[in-house]
Amino acid sequence: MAFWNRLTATDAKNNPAISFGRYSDAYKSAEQLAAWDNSLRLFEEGQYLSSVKTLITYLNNKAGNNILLLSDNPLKFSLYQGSKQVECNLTATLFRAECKIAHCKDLNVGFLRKAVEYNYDLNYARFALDSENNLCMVFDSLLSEASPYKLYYGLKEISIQSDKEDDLLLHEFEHLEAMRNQHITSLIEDTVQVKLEFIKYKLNALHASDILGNLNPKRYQGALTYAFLSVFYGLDYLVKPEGPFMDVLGKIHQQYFSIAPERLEDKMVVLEEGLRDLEAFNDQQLKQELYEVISTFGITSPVNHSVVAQFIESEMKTFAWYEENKHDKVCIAICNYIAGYCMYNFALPGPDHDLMHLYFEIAEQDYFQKLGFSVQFRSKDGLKYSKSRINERMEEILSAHRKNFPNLPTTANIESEDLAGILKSILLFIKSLPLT
Amino acid sequence: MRGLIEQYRDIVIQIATPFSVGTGFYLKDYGLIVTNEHVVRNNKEVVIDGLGVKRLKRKVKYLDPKYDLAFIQAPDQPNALNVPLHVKDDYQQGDPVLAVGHPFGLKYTATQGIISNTVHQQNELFYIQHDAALNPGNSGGPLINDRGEVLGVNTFIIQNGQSIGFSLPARYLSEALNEFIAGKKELGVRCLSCANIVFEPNQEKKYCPFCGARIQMISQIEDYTPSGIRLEIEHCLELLGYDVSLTRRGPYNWEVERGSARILLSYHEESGMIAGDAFVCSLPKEGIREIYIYLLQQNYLLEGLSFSILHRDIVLSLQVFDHSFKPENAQQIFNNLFDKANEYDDVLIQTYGAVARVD
Repeated sequence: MAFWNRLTATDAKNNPAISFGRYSDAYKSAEQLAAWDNSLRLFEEGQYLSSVKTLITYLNNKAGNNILLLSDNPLKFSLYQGSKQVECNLTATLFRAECKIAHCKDLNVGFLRKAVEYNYDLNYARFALDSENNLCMVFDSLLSEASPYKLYYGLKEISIQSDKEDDLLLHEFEHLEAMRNQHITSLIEDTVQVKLEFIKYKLNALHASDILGNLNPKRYQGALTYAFLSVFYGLDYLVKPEGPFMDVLGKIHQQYFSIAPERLEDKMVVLEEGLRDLEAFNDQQLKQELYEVISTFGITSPVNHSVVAQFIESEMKTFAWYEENKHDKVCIAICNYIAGYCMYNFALPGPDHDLMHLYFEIAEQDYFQKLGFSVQFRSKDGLKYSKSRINERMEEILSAHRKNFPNLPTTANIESEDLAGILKSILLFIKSLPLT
Repeated sequence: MRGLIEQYRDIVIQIATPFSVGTGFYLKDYGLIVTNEHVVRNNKEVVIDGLGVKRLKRKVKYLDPKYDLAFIQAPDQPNALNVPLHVKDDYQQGDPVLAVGHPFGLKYTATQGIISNTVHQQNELFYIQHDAALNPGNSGGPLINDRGEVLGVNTFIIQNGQSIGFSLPARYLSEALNEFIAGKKELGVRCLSCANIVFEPNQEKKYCPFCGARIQMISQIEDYTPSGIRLEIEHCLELLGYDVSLTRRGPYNWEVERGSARILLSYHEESGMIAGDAFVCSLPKEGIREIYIYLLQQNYLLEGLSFSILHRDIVLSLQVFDHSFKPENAQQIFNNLFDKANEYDDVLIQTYGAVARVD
């Protein structure tokens, strides 16, 4: 993202190397898109080895640190995804990717069943046991079948599933030992503490009376659902857990949206049970999933700006009543929900993403400051927000993206000085962007 | 009811066309297989398969869109049960019933229930409403009472309904059979407009000679010709020595056998995936852990194949994608799956005590 490039270029000495939100590989550079086309052409021409080599350029992440070329002949490379490392080898006829997930000290029948049963639902990869009782995932293909499409989706499946399953299996089966995650970067203790405190602070704040004030919680369950979901999505984006805590957030999301919209009471049950599950994590468990990772594949799908704009418009309809009746906490919860939902579900176009990140910097300024980021949007007395500073940052973001989106406006027009008004204005500003 | 399930095993037939799969049942007195018209629509020939009959192509003799009935020429089954039709309307709410059929992917299942409404009306016909679960592929199968008589033909379900099935009463079937027999078993189609049966040869060709409505005679139905990826898959199967017309199980599914292994091929249009699932054998009651270990170890060694478990079945699978589909490669890959399935079947049964599949 251009905004982040700019930030890391100019403010690197002030800002810590902490990333936020779900990684996305949805937006590739022109050079990478050309590499994809070349890889396809080479495959069609039967130049399979060159096709795979060219595909590596396409798979590189923006930092260029996710693929490690181990040997050119025979071609051998590793790619990183979260806590996992996928090793890829080519022979004259076969492409094979393998990821060691965990060492099995004991071959428990429940764990074996889970692995072998799970294989039926996989499209490209499979769970396997090597000769040393290491649980692995394997994806292979005849080179003559290994089109860039097949390799991309096959590598994506083995990478994402092995990264997801290692945490979950290790959490569930005590006879498994973690393997080969030396490439993950630990966070400094201070950062971990800030994240832990933030999680507790956010979860503790989910009390109906705090959020709704004098509103009847039975009647205003919709407002409560915004509050709960905004916290859950916010934790996913801002804290970025990498294990079972993240999985619980995913399950809450899945269960919540599997229930029909009118069944608000059932939805609240899901949210309250989810909250209890999240609160059950102790510090030690949480610390184990707070680390920095390198990724090759993203799990969110790219969306057009129109999808984001429509989502903002449709969710902001409920905002007006709470605004008129001065329920600021609910207003902020609605806005946070919108921003969090977008970051959780979508791989956003660059300007949308960077403005949404700025949104979170403003909404959670204290958290960013505690992490060590140089963000300052509140006035000196701490009571009002500096609209000029916010507009200035927004204009910097617009400027950074103007090359790819020439119709972007040159100025931002945030007029409010209170948090709810600012957050609403940023979302409406994003909604109005001409991203064509 | 358990005895009845056994009695019907040999006369309940799986019916497959390039467009759909369903169930039929053999009526010995008439030398016909009865099924639904919607199961065999647009086909003059279908594939029949079952526990009492080997996989065969058979001609469609009669199509009746009014009653949603079709009759298919039956092979000789001299030892088959002669099942009676219960043509009286004397059944009651609460009477126990049994629906038997071949839901997709499975052979011969029976579900028990009770009659919940004896006169469910739809399009001027009365249906027997019951709660014996009907699944896709059950259409055309018999609904049986506790005396082993055919009460009706399982015809449709209510989508999203909680196990609500509807069967055409046997009296309608009996009427249609008698009218068909009166035509000396020539190919016949009931006109949906005037309800007369038009037998071949029809001098009016595409029109009903009684009312002039447009009608399609069985002899006018065009042979199925696959195209696109379906053509390519079938070409591979032909190269592997299969009669593809016997392998079709609906528009995107094929079923083949290699030795004792049954292999289902399916094409998923949305994902572009061609999946091959060989149902090798089933888990035993003991020694299951060792089988899991063996399957996972084989998964490490195999190339392009994956062992998994689905319920109790041990499945060996492969996936090919239409964007990289090359018939010469696919032939080799399919053949590898078929051979390996047949080989592993023996190893798993003889060495690990797995259970041979029983269809």
